[in-house]
Amino acid sequence: MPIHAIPTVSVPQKSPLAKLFAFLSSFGLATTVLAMLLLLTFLGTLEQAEHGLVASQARYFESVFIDRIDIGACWRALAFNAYWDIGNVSLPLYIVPGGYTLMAILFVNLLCGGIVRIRKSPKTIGVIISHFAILFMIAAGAVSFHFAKEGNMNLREGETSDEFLSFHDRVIEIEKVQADPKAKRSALVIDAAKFNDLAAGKGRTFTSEGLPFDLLITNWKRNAQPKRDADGGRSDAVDGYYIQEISTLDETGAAMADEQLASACVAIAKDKKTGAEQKGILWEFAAAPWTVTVGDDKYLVSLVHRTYKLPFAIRLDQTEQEKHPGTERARRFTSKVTKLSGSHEEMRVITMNEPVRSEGYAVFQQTFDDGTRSGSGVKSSGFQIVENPSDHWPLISCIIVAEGLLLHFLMMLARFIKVNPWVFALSFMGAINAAFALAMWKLL
Amino acid sequence: MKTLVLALLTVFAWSGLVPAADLPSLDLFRDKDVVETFGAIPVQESGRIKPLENVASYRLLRFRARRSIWLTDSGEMDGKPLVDPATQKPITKEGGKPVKLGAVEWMLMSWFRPDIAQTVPLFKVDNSSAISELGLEARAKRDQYTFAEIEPARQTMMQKMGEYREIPSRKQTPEQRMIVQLAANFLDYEMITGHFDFIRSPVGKKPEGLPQGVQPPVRLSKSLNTLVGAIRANNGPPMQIPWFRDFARGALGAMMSGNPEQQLRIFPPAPGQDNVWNGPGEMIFGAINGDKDVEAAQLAWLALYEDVYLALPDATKFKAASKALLGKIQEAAQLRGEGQFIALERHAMHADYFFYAQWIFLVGFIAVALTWVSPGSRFEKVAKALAWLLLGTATALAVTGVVIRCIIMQRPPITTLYETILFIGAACALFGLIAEWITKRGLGLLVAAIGGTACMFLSIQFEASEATDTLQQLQAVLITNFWLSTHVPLINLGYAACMVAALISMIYFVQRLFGMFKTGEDDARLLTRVAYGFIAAGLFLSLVGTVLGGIWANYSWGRFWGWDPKENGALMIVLMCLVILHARLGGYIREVGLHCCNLVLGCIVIFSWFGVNQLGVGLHAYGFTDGIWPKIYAYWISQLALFVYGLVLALGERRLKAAVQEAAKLEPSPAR
Repeated sequence: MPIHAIPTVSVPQKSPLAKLFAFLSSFGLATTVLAMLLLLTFLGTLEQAEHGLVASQARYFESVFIDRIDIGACWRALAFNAYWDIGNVSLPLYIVPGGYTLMAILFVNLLCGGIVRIRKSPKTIGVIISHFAILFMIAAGAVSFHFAKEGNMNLREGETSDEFLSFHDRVIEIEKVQADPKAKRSALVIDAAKFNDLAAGKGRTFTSEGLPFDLLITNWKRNAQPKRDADGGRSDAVDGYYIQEISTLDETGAAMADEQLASACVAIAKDKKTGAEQKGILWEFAAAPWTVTVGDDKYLVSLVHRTYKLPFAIRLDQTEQEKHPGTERARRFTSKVTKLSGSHEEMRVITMNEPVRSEGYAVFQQTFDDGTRSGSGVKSSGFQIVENPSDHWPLISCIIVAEGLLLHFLMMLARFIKVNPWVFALSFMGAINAAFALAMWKLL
Repeated sequence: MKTLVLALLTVFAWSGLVPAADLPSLDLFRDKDVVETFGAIPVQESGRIKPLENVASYRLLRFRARRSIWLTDSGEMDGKPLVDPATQKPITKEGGKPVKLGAVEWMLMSWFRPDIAQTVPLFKVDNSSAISELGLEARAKRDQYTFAEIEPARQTMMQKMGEYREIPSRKQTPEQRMIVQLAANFLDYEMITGHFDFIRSPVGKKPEGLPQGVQPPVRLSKSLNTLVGAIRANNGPPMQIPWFRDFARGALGAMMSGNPEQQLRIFPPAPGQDNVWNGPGEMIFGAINGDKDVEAAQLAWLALYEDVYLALPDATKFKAASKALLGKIQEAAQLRGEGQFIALERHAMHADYFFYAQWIFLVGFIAVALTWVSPGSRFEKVAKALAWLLLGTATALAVTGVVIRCIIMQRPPITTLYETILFIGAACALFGLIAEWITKRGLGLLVAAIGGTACMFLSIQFEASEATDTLQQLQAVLITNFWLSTHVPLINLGYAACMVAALISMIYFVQRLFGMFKTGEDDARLLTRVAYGFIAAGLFLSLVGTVLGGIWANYSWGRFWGWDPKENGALMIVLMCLVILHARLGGYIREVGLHCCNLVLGCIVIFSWFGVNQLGVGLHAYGFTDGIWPKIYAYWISQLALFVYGLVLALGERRLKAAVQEAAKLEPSPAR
C-alpha cells in the first residue's frame, strides 16, 4: 500500500524577533502610548494645583514609573468637591509607566512603525517627514532633560557675578575651610535625588575618600523650619532644635511655588577614625552653613540650590522698568550689562523677549525690582540663565513637521476635492511659507 | 496715594446736594450734540487712550450688567417713570413714555443731575441675602437697587468690605463676594455723582479759615496752589483745617474712581513729556502729596474744565464750553500722536458687530433648518441661498469686528480669553463655510450657524460678566507682534478646527437619534470624512501652534516646555488628534468610534480653553472667571450622554455583525 504523503499547508511561522518588531511598530502600541500620555498629561496638570509644578512634573512627566495618583487633589482641581468632597484619596500604582518610559517607547514605536515599516510611496512621504521630525523633537527633549542647565542670577545695579543657581535642584555641599582665603575653592556635592526620600526613620550614609568623616542624612522634609524644642522632650531634637514640617499649600489651598519651599534634614558626621559623631540640622534658608570639625580641619556643610559656573562674568550696569502709562502694569524691563571675560569687556542690552546669547549660554531678563521688594532701595534684575545643547533643535523640528503635515493633509484634501495633489499641495505650501516669511521679515 | 484715597473714601459720606434752582434740565444731557461731544472726549484709562463713551459704557455695564437704563422705578421699559426731584414732574418723553438713557447720557446725568441719579435703580444684586446681611430690606432674589436705597447701610457695608477683602477670593462665599462688589460699585458711583463737587463747592458752603487772598466763590484753577500751600504750612493733622474735609472730598470725586488705573485722566501732557495724562483728581492729590506748585499750564486745563460746569444751566454756553474742551484735548492728543483711533473705537461700539453677527447667525440657522423641509425642491434652493447670504454676512461682520479691534490696539487679534472666543467663533464659521463650499451638502452651513451663534452668544455673556474693557494692555512678556500673530492664532485655529470636528460628531449622533441614516450610508460617510478632515487640520494647527509657542518661550525666556497647564491643554489636544488618527488607521475605530472619540476631543478642547484657567496656576492663567465650572460640567455631561448613545450604537452594530457572520456559517454554501 503506497504511503501517501500527507499534504501540509505551510503556514509561515514568524520568528520571535519579527513578532517583536511587529509589536513595536504596531498602530496598537502607538494608540496605547499616545492615549496613556494623554491621560498622564491630564492628571499631571490637575495635580499641579495642590502639588505644584515641579513635584507633578517629576511624578508624571519625568518619571520611569508613576508611584501613585492623588485622586483627591485631581478631584478638587476640577472643583468637584463643591458637590461631593471625597477627601484625601490616593491610588498607589508603582508599575504604571511614567512620562519618561512612555516617551522612550513612543520613540522606538515611531522609528519602527513610522519610519521603517511604513509603506513608502508618494502618498506617505509627508507622514514620513513628520514622523522623522517628531523623533528629532523627542531626542531634543531627552538631550535637554539630561544635559541642559538652567537657573537664575539676581544682580543689583553695579554688582558682578559669574555663578547662577539652579531653580529646583537642591544639593548638600561639603567644603573644606582653607587657611588661605585666595586658594581655589572646591566642594563635594550630594544630589537631592540621593537623599530626598529619607523621611523620618530612614537614613543613608554618604562616604568619600577625600573626607575624614562619613555623612549620615536622615529626617528630610520638603518644606520645614527649625523650631526650638522648648521642654527638651523630643527625641529628634538636635542641640535643642528640631525640624518642624510646614504645609506646601498656601492659605488659599494652592500649591506654593517650588522656590518658596525650604527643605531641611538632619545630618550626622561620623569620624572615620574615632567614630565620634557630630549632629546638625541642615536648612535651605539657614543663615550660615553647619560646621564639622575633625582634628584641626573644619568643613562647612550646607543644603543649597546647586550652583553653576559661567565661563564669563556679568555686571549689571543699569536696569529700567517701563510701565503702561498711569498703571502699575509693566510694559518692559531692560538691563544694560557688561560681559567680562578676562580683561575683555563687552556692553550688551537684555530686554524682554530679547536675550543675550554667548558661549552656549543664553541670558534672559526675568524679573525686576525697583528696590522696594528687597528693601535695599537699589534696583535689581533677575536673569534666567540656560545652557542647552539642543537649544535650536525644536525650531528645526517644527519647520520639518509643519512642512510634512502640510504636504500630507493638503494632498489628502486635494484627492477629496479631486484636483492634482502635487500642484495643489505645493502651491498652497508655497503661499503659506511666503506668508510666514513675510511675518518674520516684518514683525520679528 | 492709593491707601490715602481708600482711607478717605471710607470716612466720607456724601451728603447735601445743590439747591434745585441752579439745576440744569435733564433734556440738555440727552441732546445729541452734547452726548456726541462728551462721548468723543479722549481719556487715558488702564494705560490706553479711549473715548469717554467707552469708560461710561463699561461703568454702567459693571453696575447694571447692561449698557443702557430706563428712568423708571424698575429700571426697565415697563416701570413707572421717575419723578424729577427739582420740578416734581415725572420724567417722560413726548407722549408720556419713559426715557431711556445710553451710557454717555447716564454718565452726564450722574455728573450734572446727581439728585435724579440717586433715585435710579442702578445696582444689580444677584443675591438678595447680601442685601439682608447689610440690614436692608431685600426684594426678589435678583433685583436692582438705587443709590438712595443702599446709602443707609453705607457704614455697615464699608466695614464688611474691609473684613471680606482679607479673605482670598477662592474662599469667599457668594454673599461675601456680592457685598465686596456692591461696596466697590457704590463707592465708585458715589465718586461719579460727586465728580463736579470740586467745582460746585470746592471748600464747602460756608468755608471758614480760608487762606489770605482766597475769596468765595472759590475756583481751584485760581486758588489751588494757595490752598495747598496752607495745607502744607499747617503743622497739625490736616483735618484740623475747617475747609479741608470738603476740599478732600471734592478731590476724591474729581478722581472718579478708587482704582488708580481708572481715575479720570483727560489732560494730555505736552509732546515729549511724560506718558501719563493728568486729570483733575490727580492734579489736586499730586499737589497735596508733592511739594511743588501746580504749573500754570495744568491750571489752564483745570480752568477749561471748570468753564464747562460753570456754564450751566445755560445750554448754549454749556455746549460751547464743552466743545472747546473737547477741541483742546483732541488737539493736545494729536500733537502727541495719540488718540487717532478714538473715532474708530466709537464706530465699533455703535456698530456692535458681534451683537448683530449673533442674531444674523441665528436667523441663518433658521434658514438652514428650512432647507430640510422639502429636500430637492426649489424651496430648498432658495433657503440654501438665503442661508449662504446670512451666514456669509454674519461671518463677515464677526471678522470685521475682530479686524477693527486689531487696528485700534495695533496688535494681533488674540491677547485675552474674551478675544479667543471672538476669534474661534469667526474661525468656526469660516471653516464651516469652506467645508460647505467643498462638499455642498448643507453640513458646512449648519456648522457655521451653530458655531457662530454659540461663540457670539458666549462672547456677549462673557463681556457682561467681566464688565471690564475688553481691549486691554499687554503684560511685558507678551509684547511681541511676531509670536502673537503666529503662535496664538494657530493654536486658536486648532481649537476651532477641533471644535468643528466635535460639532460634526454631535450632529452625526443627533441625526442618528432621529434615524436619518445608518452606519456606512452615504450621508454618514460624508460626515465622517469631513470630521476626519477637521481632525487632520486640528492636528496640524494645534501641533505647529503648540511647538511654535514652545519656541517662543525658548527664545524669549529660555525654556521650550514648562508643563504649564495651558501648554498641557494644547498638548492634550494634539495627543487626542493623534490617538484618533492612529486608532482609525489601525482599524480600532470606524465610523461610530471616530465620532465617539471626537466628542472626547471636544471635551478636551473645552477643558483646555476654559478649564485650565480655573486651576489658578501657571503662566497662561489670564482669564479667571467665577462660576465657569458648572458650564463646563454641563458641556461634558451632554457629551457623555451622546458618547453613551454612541457606545450603544457600536455594541448593537457589533452584535448585528456577529449574527450575520453566524448566519453565513449556518447557511449551506451554494458552491458545494
